[in-house]
Amino acid sequence: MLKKIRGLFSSDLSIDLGTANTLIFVRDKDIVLDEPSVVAIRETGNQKSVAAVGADAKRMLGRTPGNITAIRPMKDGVIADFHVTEKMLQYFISKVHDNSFLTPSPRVLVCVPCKSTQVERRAIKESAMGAGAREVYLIDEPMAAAIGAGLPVEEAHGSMVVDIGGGTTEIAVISLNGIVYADSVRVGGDRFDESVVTYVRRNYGSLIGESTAERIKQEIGTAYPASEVREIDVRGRNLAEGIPRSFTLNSNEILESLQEPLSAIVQSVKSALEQCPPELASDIAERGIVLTGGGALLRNLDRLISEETGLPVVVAEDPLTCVARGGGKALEMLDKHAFELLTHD
Amino acid sequence: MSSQTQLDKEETVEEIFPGAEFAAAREAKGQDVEEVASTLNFSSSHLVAIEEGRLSDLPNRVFALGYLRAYARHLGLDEQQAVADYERFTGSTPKAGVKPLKSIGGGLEEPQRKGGGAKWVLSIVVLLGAAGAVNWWVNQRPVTADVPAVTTFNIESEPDSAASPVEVVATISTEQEKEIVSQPVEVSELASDSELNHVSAIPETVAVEPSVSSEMDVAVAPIVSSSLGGDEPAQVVNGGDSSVEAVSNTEAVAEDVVATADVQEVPVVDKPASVVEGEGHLKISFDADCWVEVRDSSGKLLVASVRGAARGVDVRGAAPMKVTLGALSSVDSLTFNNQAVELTQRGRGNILRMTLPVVE
Repeated sequence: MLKKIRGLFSSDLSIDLGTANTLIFVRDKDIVLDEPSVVAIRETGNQKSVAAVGADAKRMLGRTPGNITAIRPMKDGVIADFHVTEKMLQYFISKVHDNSFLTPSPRVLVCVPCKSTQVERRAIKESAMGAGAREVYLIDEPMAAAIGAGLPVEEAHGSMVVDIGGGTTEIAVISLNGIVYADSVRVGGDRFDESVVTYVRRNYGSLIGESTAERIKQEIGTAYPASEVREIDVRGRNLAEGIPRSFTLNSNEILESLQEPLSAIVQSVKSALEQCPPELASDIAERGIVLTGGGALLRNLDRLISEETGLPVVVAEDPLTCVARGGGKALEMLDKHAFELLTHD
Repeated sequence: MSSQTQLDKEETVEEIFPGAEFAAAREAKGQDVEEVASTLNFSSSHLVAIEEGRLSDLPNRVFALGYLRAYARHLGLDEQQAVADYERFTGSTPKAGVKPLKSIGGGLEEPQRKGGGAKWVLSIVVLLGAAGAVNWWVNQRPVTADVPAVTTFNIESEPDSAASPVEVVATISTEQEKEIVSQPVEVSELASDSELNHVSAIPETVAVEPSVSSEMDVAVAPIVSSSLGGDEPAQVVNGGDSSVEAVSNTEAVAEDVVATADVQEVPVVDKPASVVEGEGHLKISFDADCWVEVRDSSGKLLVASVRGAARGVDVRGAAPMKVTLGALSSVDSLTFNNQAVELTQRGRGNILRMTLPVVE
């Protein structure tokens, strides 16, 4: 009853609860929150309290004193730490309702990986309820990504979307508002970062942090050899000497370091095409594959997949926000007829 | 050649998608459509549609923009310009009603919240409540500012021509209450020293009959300067009759007020320089710097600082008071309730710790 009253003062939300970033789309508005999915926990004796959430907490990653732990409560697209996720969602929901007198109690649509288990989905649902949501709906991430990218999901025409997130890569073939084929591989932006860290340690004998690896990936990372070679100066702790040293990395080295996760993604795309019904495969061959998610921003990734599959590959506009925007569109259709878009557990 | 250029210009004027730029750039690179199509893995029909400006033949927006970008990138043309041209000629905008993020984690607009009306209603209710509370508080306060008749006595006493002024303020006001409220003014003690004895006003309401005001016991020193505030001129009364005159003066004023208005109130009356029972008045003067710590009976710290010749101690507090002096030799005099306290035998070394009043 109280939740219903509070619901009158809350906006419906679509949440892309990602491994790397959490985005919130407010119904009839826009994306109003885009923060890293990081929570800093402070321990005082046996008591734990939230020290920071989002961008503030991300700045603490790898730089915390003993009593503060900056953690990422989502791993591989699903909840790794239930209570911390709940706290994080609570913070984000209240942040987008910060003018409210009452604790917000919105209807929430959360995007979940298509291959997540019932237990994982329930955990996300419970977490959102615990964070104050009045009702929680779940939608498969690739479906939200396809809607957000502007693919004609309602047509009797096959569309293939590859959503490369922080923890997972979702591949789906969609037709007539339904998922014909879907696959999820636990490879994403985080694996790219790990590969860069491993490469630098192996070849330069230096240790760099995840944040530095992410910066390297964003600035000079490439998935396909390009005519232009980029370079970046990096400082890392030399393992032999134990002191920070500076060295220079170029884009070809990063390309080499990313080979393993990239080939995993390409293999999944090929596998999806293999298992796709021939009519839909023909549609996909005619129009192409759409890339969404933060991973799609990796330079020349579309070129790599195109070369490997022989199909046209395009990157969606504003790929980072496709899932949240797609969830938002589904939310707008919620009261009408789009319940078939939502998953049922 | 010049006629071709003229034709191109006319086409631009007619607002046709500049697909010819793609064709020209491709020909400049010496590639044909099939070659580019196989390189980009695009359908050649889509590339031809772009070059001929037939944007409606392209698939929906996400694919069309993808093809345009890839083709422009391949030919070394400006991708953003190609996208802008597409949007201009098709009239489509990026996600109608949805703006793309400019950057991650910043520059985002705050959401408008539903239920703003309720917030305003709640705000108004809270404000009205606060206004009501302030109104009530103002009405409950003893009215002193709007007093129509105010009588102020400034009585200064100067024993042996050394002034020890005591200020007594009696405020008599006409109010709607039907009783005379006054405060017996008692000046029990007039210090023989020349220091000022300033007594702060203590509002007290005591209901008395008009005749009661004659019982006001005002003991004053030989020279009393009495000034009636407001319209009354100041009077200086000399000699031993001053107390009587002061009292009669007070009576006269009181009676006068009674005569003019039946309803009187005296909410604020100054108390004389008396020491209330249970209260201690500690004064210490110094020759040199000395650490002083004074606590009252509840342990509340009244003084804790270094004082010196220029700045002595003059505090009041609930007795008994605990006094600690860091340099006994610097103390010139110590009086408690106007009685000098002998210190010479009490200190341990140069440090003094004692409780006042002294219990022998």
